[in-house]
Formats: sequence, structure tokens, C-alpha cells
Amino acid sequence: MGEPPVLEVRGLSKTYRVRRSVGRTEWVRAVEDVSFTVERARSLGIVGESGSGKTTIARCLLGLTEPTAGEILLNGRPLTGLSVRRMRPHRRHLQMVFQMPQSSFDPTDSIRRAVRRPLRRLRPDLSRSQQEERLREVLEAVGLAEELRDRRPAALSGGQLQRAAIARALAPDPDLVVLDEPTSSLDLSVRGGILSLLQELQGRQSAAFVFISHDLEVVRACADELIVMYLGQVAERGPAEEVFARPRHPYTQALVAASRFDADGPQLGPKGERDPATGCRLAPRCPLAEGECAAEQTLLPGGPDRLVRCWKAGAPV
Amino acid sequence: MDVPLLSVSGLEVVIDNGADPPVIPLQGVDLEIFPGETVGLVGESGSGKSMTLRSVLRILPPGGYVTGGGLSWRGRSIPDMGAEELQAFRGAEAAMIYQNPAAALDPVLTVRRQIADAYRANRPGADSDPVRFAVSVLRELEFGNPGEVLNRYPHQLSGGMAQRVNIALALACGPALLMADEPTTGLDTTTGLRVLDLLEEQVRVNNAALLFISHDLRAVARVARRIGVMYAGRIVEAGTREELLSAPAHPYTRALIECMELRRDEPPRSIPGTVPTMTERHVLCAFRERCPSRIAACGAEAAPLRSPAGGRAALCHLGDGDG
Repeated sequence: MGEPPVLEVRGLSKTYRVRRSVGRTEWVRAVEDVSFTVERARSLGIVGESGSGKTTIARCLLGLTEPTAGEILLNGRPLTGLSVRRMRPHRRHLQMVFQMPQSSFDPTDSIRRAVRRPLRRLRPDLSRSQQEERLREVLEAVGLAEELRDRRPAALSGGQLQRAAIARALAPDPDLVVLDEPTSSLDLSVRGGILSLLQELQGRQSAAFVFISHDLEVVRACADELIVMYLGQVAERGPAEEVFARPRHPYTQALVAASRFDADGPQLGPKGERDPATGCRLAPRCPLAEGECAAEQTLLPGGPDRLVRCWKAGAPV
Repeated sequence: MDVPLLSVSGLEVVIDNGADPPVIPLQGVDLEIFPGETVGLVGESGSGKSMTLRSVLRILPPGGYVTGGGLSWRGRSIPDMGAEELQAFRGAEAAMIYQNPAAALDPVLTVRRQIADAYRANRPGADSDPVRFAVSVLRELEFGNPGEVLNRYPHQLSGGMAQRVNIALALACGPALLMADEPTTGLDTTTGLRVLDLLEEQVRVNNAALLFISHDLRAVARVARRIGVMYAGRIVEAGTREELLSAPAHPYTRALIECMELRRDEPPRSIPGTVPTMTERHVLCAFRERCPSRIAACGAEAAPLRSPAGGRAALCHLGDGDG
């Protein structure tokens, strides 16, 4: 037996109860039966628009939300159903980079202090001098200049602050880093710098990365494998470059076109009054929809290492 | 020659809030917009795009005032407008879609009330029903259930929904000039594209002009026929989108174009360094510290305004094809 994958997710589902008005409760299936694994030093991209369930997956991975069903295994050990206290030993292996760096730092802390904190709390096995050594190492690795390190968050630009957030996540030497829209609050002129940094770090760290974004192009720049989510379901998955170059699912095709600011590709209709709970979830918006789309769709093989949830695209052509 | 709707010349703005050193976010902006024209301003955060828009509506932040140059609307000086004239100008003539939509909506009024109020206040004598207008514009903005959204309060909207309501609000004013400050930030890519297309469609249908600003050149090029590239409080290059994208004359424009596309076979591009502080007037080219094509003259004298071809203009020492 080889070592287990860093992350294994089996049949993850999350259903929320939503109170629409007094006495009217609805159940929203935010994530439906999602499974994937991420190996050491590999990266997975999860892409989809708001409501696709990508952020719910991230919350479940971090233990911020309890899944309704399914299992999450970190290094082969289950994370689901753990109390806060039992979750604690896993924290050092599980780190997160948030979308808005400005709101993910304590405004009164210096950058150095903020990045030192997870080391102090999560790495008591290291001596003070080893912790300080690691602190210098990660701040260096993300390219944060010495003179910025003692400043407070408000004195840094968005791009500099996101570098600090990445340093903070990497500091305890985690096995898994989840990045939720790491570049979408940044100017395009600094986006490239952050993406290069993430690419470079992947080559040097043993950690596995999960990138979550609504922007397919950003995910493609960083991920080895790609999962495209739509309304809680996996619409398509496969090697990132393959999925981007030859999207099979109409939804993926629309995302690829949108990420290129391209007018080609299927034109999706507007979102309906109510999201369908059965059959193909995209059907009401899909220009290719037919009668058969009303049937429940399963993930079908769509090429080497490819899965597609569309009866029209899945079968070998 | 037509009279431009909006004419901005040599605009300089200073913000002095008494605490921090005064900043000069605009250092000589020239801009003209004719009826029905779509114009975009692109540049990084801090380049002065939002400040230009705010100067037009006279909503500069506290301590902000115009210290040089002028702004006029259909030939009438905007700084000289009285309270009533200004009231009539805002909304019905020039309406704005703000970058932070949650802050632009009134938290205690329903979406219905806000859109209907804007409609009635700015279109006196309109025979169409404000609520019917609200439903149709919300449907165009990809709301699946507009009737239900009308009953909501702003805190019941997601960020993306609030952004789209904000756009509906500006459209309700039926303005001659629609100004949009990063209206697609925070929206999904597919919805964002749809919103850009809707904006373009609306200005075309209503024969309105559009002044659109973003840090994303792709978004700007999608909706604007003419583009101004802003850096450190000035427009450093201007031209049609085709000219600008196919033959950028300013190194900053070239750098922005390189950041726009991510290619698998080459590392993602960025512009090293940061936008300079705006506490002093920049006589020399403000981009020179970050410029890959910098020459000796850049540190010695102010960059000349060059016109490489057609109606294009670039503030740079380098001529066409240099560097």
C-alpha cells in the first residue's frame, strides 16, 4: 500500500434549510454527491458560478460546515464529524487563503505578527528559533520585501496583502491549502504576479492545492485537474488543459467562451425562476436541450480521465 | 461639429482632508464624450478613474476640490451649476453605477420603491408604469424572478444581485450619459459578460453615451469604442479600441495588454512595482520607474504628447515602434 492521497472526498453532499417566509421552508441542495482525490504536490481547480456549491465544498473541507452526507479524509483520516477539539491537530495540515485579503487580517497586527501566529499555535513542536526561521523563509518565498513586514495590513496594497495571506497559510507547512478566489479582488496588473507565485510554490512545496474560482482561466493557470460545478453537481471533470482546450459540457463551453471574453460558444439563457431539482440542472438555460434532458443525468466517460454529466456530450463521439 | 455632452479639460483635483498630506489624484485629464458614444477608461487602482467620474457628478470625497481645468456639460460649466441645476443634471442627464453597490442602495427601501422613485424623479411625464419598467429591466439583468426581487430589501440581496439592481437603478433615470465604475466586479464571468452586453445594448437603444471604467482592459474593450488609458492621474494614451489593442503606443498600455491574457505556455504577466504616490505633481513620466522601455530622456524632461497615427495620442518619449 502506498501512502493515502492528501485529500479524499467521497460522496460529499450538503443540504441547507432555507426559510423563504414564515412557515415556508425549502431545502437547497448546495452540494450533491461530489467525489474527488488530490495527491501530494498536485492541484485541483473547482470552477463554477455563484450557487454552484464550490464555496460550500471549501467550507466542508475546512470543517466550517458539517456535510449532510459523505466523507472527507485528510491523509487517510476522516475529518467529518470531529469536535472542534479533535479537529485541532488537523489544522496545521489544513490552511486557507481567502478572497478578500483586507478582511482576513487583524487590522492591528503587523504582517510579521499575523504570519507568526499560526506558527506559534500550530507548530509547538518547533523551537522559537525554528519558528522564526520558518517565518523568514515563507515571507521570503512569497516575495514580501523586508520593509513591508512590520507594517499593518492597511499600509499594503491588495497584491502585497494577498502574498502575506499565502505566506500565513504556508507557514505551518500544511498538507492541503484551499484558495478561495485568490485573485478575483486584485487588479489584472498584479494578478499575474500572484498566479506565478502560486505556480512556483507548487513546485517547491509538498502541499496539495485546491483552487476555487469562478474564472476558468485563473484555475487553468494553476491546476492540474479541473472540476466544473453547476448547481451543486459536478458537470465535468478532467485534466485542466484538456477540459479548457476541448470542453464537452455545454456549461463548460460557455465558461471557456466567457473567460476569453468571446462571443462564440453556446449562449446560455438567463437563470430561471426556480432551479430544477431533477434532470439536467442546466437544461432550462441550455441551447441544446431536448426532451431527454429531463431525465436524471449521470457522469459519463468523455475521453481519457474525463467525466461529463451530459448525455449528448458523454457518449463516445 | 456637434457640441460634446461632456468635456473635461486639464482637470486637476486635490484632496486635502486635513490629516494626511494632500494628494493630487488628477493631474490634467482631458476627455470629450459625444452623444451616443461609448468611452472607456482603463488603469490600475489609484490611477484616477473613479476620481474622474466623481468630479463629473461633483461627488468628490471630503476635502476634495477642483484646482485646475474645467468640466462642462453640453457647454455649461459643471462647477458653476447651482443646486437645482445640479439636481436636474444628476440622474436624468448623467447617472452612475457605483463600484460598491451595497453602499449605493438605501437599506430601508425595497428594490421596487428605489427603482420606481428613480424612474419618477428623472422621467417626469413618462407614460410607462415604473413597476413594469422595473420588472422588464430586472429580467434583462438575469433575475429569474423579478417580481419577487422587487419586494426585497438590499440586505436580502447577494453582492451580485445588488450590483445588478444598482445598474437597473441607473437605467431607470434614463440618462444621456451612463457612467459605470467597475460594474462587473464581483459578478460571475458569464453574468458579467451578459451585464456588459446589456449595458452596451441599453446605451445603444436609448442613444445614450457610456463612460465605463475598469482595471480590466478586456471588459473595457468589450463595451467601449474609444479607450483612454489612465496612469497617475493622467490619460497617457487614447485611441479607438482597435488601434489601442493592435498597436499600443505607450509602454503602459502594452503592459496592460500583456496582463490581460493568461497563456499556458508562458508565465502569467504582471506589472512590477506599484502606482506612485500622488502627493506631488508628476512633471516627468510617472510610469518611468516601472517602464521596461525607459530611456535617459524619461528622467530628464516631461514626456511629449505624440500622435503616432490617426486620432491616437500617447504621452511618451518613445515614438511609434521604438522600445
